Amino acid sequence: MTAQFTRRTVLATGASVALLSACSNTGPAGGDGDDPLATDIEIGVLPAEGTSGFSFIESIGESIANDHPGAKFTYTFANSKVRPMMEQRWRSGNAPDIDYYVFNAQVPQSREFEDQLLDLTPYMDEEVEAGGTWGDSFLEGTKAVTIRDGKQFGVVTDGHLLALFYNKKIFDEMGLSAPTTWDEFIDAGEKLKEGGIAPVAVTGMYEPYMGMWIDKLFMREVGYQKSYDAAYSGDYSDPGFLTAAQKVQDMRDRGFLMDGFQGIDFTPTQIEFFQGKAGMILMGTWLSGEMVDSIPEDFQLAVTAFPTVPGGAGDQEAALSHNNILAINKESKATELALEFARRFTSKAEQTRRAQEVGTVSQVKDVPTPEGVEGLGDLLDSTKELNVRYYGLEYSPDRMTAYYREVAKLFFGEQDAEQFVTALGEAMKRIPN
Amino acid sequence: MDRARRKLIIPFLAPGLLFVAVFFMVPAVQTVYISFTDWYGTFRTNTFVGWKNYASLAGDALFLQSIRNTFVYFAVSLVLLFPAALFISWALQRVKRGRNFFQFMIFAPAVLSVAVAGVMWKFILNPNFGLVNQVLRAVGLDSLARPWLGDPSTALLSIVVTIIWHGIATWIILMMAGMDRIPAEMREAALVDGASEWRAYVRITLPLLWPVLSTLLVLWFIQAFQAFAFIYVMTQGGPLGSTEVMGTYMYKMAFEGRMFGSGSAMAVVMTAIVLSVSVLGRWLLKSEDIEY
Repeated sequence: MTAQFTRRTVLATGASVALLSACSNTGPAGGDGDDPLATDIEIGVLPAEGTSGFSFIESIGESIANDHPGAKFTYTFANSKVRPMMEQRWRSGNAPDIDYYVFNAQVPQSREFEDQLLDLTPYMDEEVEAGGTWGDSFLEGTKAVTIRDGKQFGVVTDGHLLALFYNKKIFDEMGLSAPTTWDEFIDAGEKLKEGGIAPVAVTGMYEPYMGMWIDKLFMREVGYQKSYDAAYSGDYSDPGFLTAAQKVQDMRDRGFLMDGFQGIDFTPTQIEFFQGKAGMILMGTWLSGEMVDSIPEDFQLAVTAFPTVPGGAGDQEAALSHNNILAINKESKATELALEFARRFTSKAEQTRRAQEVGTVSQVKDVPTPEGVEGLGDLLDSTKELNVRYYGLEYSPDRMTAYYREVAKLFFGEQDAEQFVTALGEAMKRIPN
Repeated sequence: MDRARRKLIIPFLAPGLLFVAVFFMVPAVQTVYISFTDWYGTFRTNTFVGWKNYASLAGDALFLQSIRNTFVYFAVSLVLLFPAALFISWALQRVKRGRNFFQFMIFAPAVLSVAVAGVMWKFILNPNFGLVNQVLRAVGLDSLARPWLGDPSTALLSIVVTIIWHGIATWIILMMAGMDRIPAEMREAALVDGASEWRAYVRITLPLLWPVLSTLLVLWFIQAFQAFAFIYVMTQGGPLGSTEVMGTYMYKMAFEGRMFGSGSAMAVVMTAIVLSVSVLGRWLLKSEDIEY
């Protein structure tokens, strides 16, 4: 009898507690029922846990949670290594509320999920704290990668331009200035050579890094879109392609490339540049952050846009870049919170803090560039269009391997410019789209 | 075998069979199936494409180059590894003083991980500050200094040397075990009869060791076709594809490009080559059993 009473009491108490809990749980995930931001959200993040980049993102979540008690953030690693799993989640309708790599206006392969993404266009007209609209707060160049057919499906949280870094101390000592045109680049290279310094540091062991040179010259000589199309059709009939290849051949034949570059990996190549053995290196703006521990204290790092080609029919103010684009799941039950996270992440104040704390290059207007790289601010200001690096070939590995292998042959002296253009066209035609 | 004993065997075999079925047979069958699809890591695009992936491979110059490189890798490594391993295993059996020291020197690299050994050799072979070129320059052989891993004519050879340096100890142990099985009296009798050390080795040791060597040759062939880690760490298949072997190209297709259909087709082709050459090799290398 006593036992039955006890069991009945426990069951009744449990049921009462459950009922009370259910009644009080009015919000989507137990938060404040009046606040749409008091809910759970899953955010895909690119930095790994334990890094300063991850801590920064966590701090944004915490600041929102402070303002909106009940907002609960879960962070899921969403970098390139876990993309198959994340894509599977998108396809099965179980995607995170915020993710990366699911949209890039210039990469057709990444647009598969476009229908599942929140169109951010209406929100771009909202006023932001720093003044102006949210849409206007981004650098002009970001539009090419975030807007397609007039609709904006993402915002750039950070980005990297491929640009020409140079050793300013050596340049100053030799009375050289940053080359702005290809002819100035050749002149600077010749003077560096006379001074016993290799003009260009480049690795021969990672073919796409050699490819940056031809990619940039293609863009200057014939334009991004035409070069992009050629990479998938194999149509390199425009004479500008040959002119670009001849420039690389000229650079090679003049002996501009660092001795032994064929057998030096990219990190030792960068180290040799920072040791003053080479005057220039074409690299992404991640260079200074990546090599921070290897840069001598007295090294004066400076950067400038890739030299223009006067008379070239292509884009002279555009840059090849890699941008991290944040997109929001249209089916998210936490749309308001996702939007708030995106707004704060891309606000001028938070981007400034991020540049200072993490050394990230922002794509938001008027955000100071990380310290220690002269010319970075001017580079960002002068770049009118950001185009995706490698012409999006990263999404087509067989095409990418074949493309950059031909470039490597040109750099290695295995073929001249004319042979290169012919071989590249044949290789790109051979691979099915 | 009576029925009672047969019944007894089943429960003992079942765990092993289940293990093989789940972790070998099912994935193998799945791989063959995937090779006929355009699957790239997710369910929705899993369309049956017939022989398309195999037809693409036949016209893929890079894949054909990777097959050629794999055979070259096998042949070059065979020529360098087996004579060296045979000599060292013979020498270690003869050496009286300092045997432990020599054994340590030879076996020490094997404890390094592939990643560590690969990166270390990348630095050793660096054209500008690497040990190899510095030594060559120091002794006046400047003309021989080169970008070892960046020159298509030396990159594969450089990797083979690294792999042999790292793994030769395993083969020496296996050869020494084979030599230990040969009765010492046979060699001693030959020496007493006036045979030189070389003649005794060639006429007695090697023929008696042949059953072991032929098995090791087939094993090395299989291992050569599995070559991946050192190449991926040191050159990633470059320069100009000169070190691209089937393993690295398959990995790039399947895991970097997520073209699991093409990657699986490569895996099937690779398995077919390994199986057929192994069977052929065993048949060709088979010798009469020698009783001793």
